[in-house]
Amino acid sequence: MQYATETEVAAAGQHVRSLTKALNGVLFGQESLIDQVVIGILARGHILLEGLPGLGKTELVKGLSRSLQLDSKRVQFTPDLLPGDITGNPVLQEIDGRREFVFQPGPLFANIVLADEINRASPKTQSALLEAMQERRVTVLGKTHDLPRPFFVLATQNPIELEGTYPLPEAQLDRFLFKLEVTRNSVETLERIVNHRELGTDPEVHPIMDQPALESLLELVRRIYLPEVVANYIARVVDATHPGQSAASRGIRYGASPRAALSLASAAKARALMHDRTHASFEDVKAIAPAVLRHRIVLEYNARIEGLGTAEILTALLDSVPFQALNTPRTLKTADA
Amino acid sequence: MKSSDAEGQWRKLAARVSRVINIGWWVEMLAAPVLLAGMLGGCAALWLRHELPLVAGQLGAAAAGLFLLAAAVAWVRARRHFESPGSSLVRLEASMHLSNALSAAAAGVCPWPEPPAHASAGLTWRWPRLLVPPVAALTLLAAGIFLPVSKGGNLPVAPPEPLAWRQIKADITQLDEDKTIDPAYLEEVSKKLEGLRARQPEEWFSHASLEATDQLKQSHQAEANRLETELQRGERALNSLQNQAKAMPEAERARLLNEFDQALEGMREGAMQPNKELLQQLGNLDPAGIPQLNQEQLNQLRENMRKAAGELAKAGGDKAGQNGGGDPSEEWNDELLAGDGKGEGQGQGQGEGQGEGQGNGPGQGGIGRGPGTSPNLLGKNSVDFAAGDAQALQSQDLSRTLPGDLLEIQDGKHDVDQSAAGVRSGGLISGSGSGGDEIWKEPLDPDEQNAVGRFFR
Repeated sequence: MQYATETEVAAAGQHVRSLTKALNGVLFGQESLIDQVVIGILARGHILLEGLPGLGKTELVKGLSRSLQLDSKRVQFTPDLLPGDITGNPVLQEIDGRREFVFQPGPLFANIVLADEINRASPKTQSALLEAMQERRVTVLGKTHDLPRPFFVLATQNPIELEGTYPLPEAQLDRFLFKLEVTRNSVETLERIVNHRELGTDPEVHPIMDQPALESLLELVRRIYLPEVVANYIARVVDATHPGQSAASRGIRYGASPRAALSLASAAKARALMHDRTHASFEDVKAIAPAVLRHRIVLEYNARIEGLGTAEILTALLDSVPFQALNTPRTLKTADA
Repeated sequence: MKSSDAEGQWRKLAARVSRVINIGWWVEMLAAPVLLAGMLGGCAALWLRHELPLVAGQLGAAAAGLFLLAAAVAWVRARRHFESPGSSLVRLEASMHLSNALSAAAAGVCPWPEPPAHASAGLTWRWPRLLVPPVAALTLLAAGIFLPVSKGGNLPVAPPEPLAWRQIKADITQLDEDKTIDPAYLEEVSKKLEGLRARQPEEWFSHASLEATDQLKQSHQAEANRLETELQRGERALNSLQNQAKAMPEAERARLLNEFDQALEGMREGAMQPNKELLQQLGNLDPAGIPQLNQEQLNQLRENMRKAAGELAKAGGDKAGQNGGGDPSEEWNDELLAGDGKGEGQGQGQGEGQGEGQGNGPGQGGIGRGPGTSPNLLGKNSVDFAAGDAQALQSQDLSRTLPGDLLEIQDGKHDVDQSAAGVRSGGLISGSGSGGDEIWKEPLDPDEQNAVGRFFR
């Protein structure tokens, strides 16, 4: 494979920076979140956003679609939403004097789909969406329909209103590249929002790139070099999430899957591109590991009783796994020791 | 900077880091064997020095060999932990936060970054862990090599030779230095002494050896005394002949001449003879013509004789009586053995030596002391009470008195105040307290006060 060159990376970095700048103009004070959303997009991943209502999740997705000049759809998930409501339904139509079922594409047929409050839909509908996320195609009445490329799902869920919800099973959560937590804004950010926004009006977003440019960016991410030592680090981090594989895994019931390792590698490459590098690094992996792993590990009941959270366990786990598998003799002291 | 130069520098740095880490592993693996070798080596050195006549150099060489062996074993054990320069390159980039630029450059994905002025893998030595084992091992080894240790039982250790030998040897040496005695005699005595010393050390204190030693010593002392006596006799005769020959009657002069001749003959007959020069001078002397001889020469001759007699007195004469004899006034400070006073240091006629004076005390022992137990060996003899004799005992130990025992009889009177006093009236206290006077007296002792306090509490 031809690895990405510095020139290509530098040019792509300009585009990515422009994109993040545009999104920062849409969503104030969420630079880290925006960076991670952009990384998720560059890594061709689906993103689960968790946060309270009104924090700008929908605005972010809309801004993203406008800046990328991509087709976007929003689906408000409710318990009575049926799979056909999102995938599309065959409709009986009269064509040339004959009645035929014609497939009417649903909202999934868009480049960016905002699945709002995904945990309110029934498992049946969730499954239909998650299948589409994985296969990037839908099958209706025995006929398969490819989804447009690129295809991203940005789902949201509310962490507090759990009544009448259907929490996503772990196997389905695994299909999301990132689970990002949208936090509340600081006073300064709120002041900035009040000064620069009007209720009921959309922020002005200029297009940054078109679909082919985005496609070439996504292709470039694939060509980012992943050193063997970094791949080894990813493998060891994922392995350490399993019970008994590390001291920090105490309290974890189920660890991360191989898909998590692939997601880490892909996200690390995307982050490297964002930082104008032709190669991924340990730091990239460590930076995006919480977003990749936090929804992929299942804690033990006892750990929850003890008040241990996923964030604490992941922090300890990442601190305990060294970049290299090599040991240092006890006659020497390392700088981080 | 060219990329190849940068690559060379980075690879050199990685090789250096790799070396440091590998040495660290080696030292870590070496610590336990070195410490163990130090302990065992120290103990072995002590044992070897105790058993064999080894020198520090040999032990040091053995210790160095032991260290080399331990180093080789540690190297073999540490090899499986050794780090390649490639791995050290990754360690460098991780430590310097280079975002794996070196790995990517090594893969040819990007150019080598320019090496900084001070590149470091963030490794520092843990000096206590590094130094304590070898220092402890060296200390143990040095202790084993240099600590003073007694020689072992396998080594032939000569026991101290009998005291009499040293005395005889000292006498011979002294007489030899003074040139008083004919060297032939001294050689003969020395030969006898060496013959005794040539025996096995275990036999030095055997009965036969001690008897032979005693015999040699006695004969030597007897010879010395004899020669001393002869010299004194000759000197006295010569003195009288020199100073009073003209005034003395002929019979007396003949007696003195005869005495001088006998003395001279006595000197010649004994095993111990004066030195040849003195003997020749005395032999060449014509006693009949003494008054006509040079007075200074005569004085010198007499002086030589006196001196020789004095030396002989030192050599043997004044030691007479050491065994069994001695000065009656010799120090004998043990009160238990004090006996009835001084002058009891003489044997009962069976002791050795030529001591003068008489006494009832024991001698000082010696193999020629004769059979039987020395009296008063264990102290003063108790009074031999005959059975049935009554004797009053006086006890000063009042702790053992019984009721009814009379302790003391004393004449005395009651101590009555005889001063005249009239009738006194009670009532008011006439004196008032002043500063420092005791105005209140506690009638209870502390324990009673505490008891009262507890009761009221």
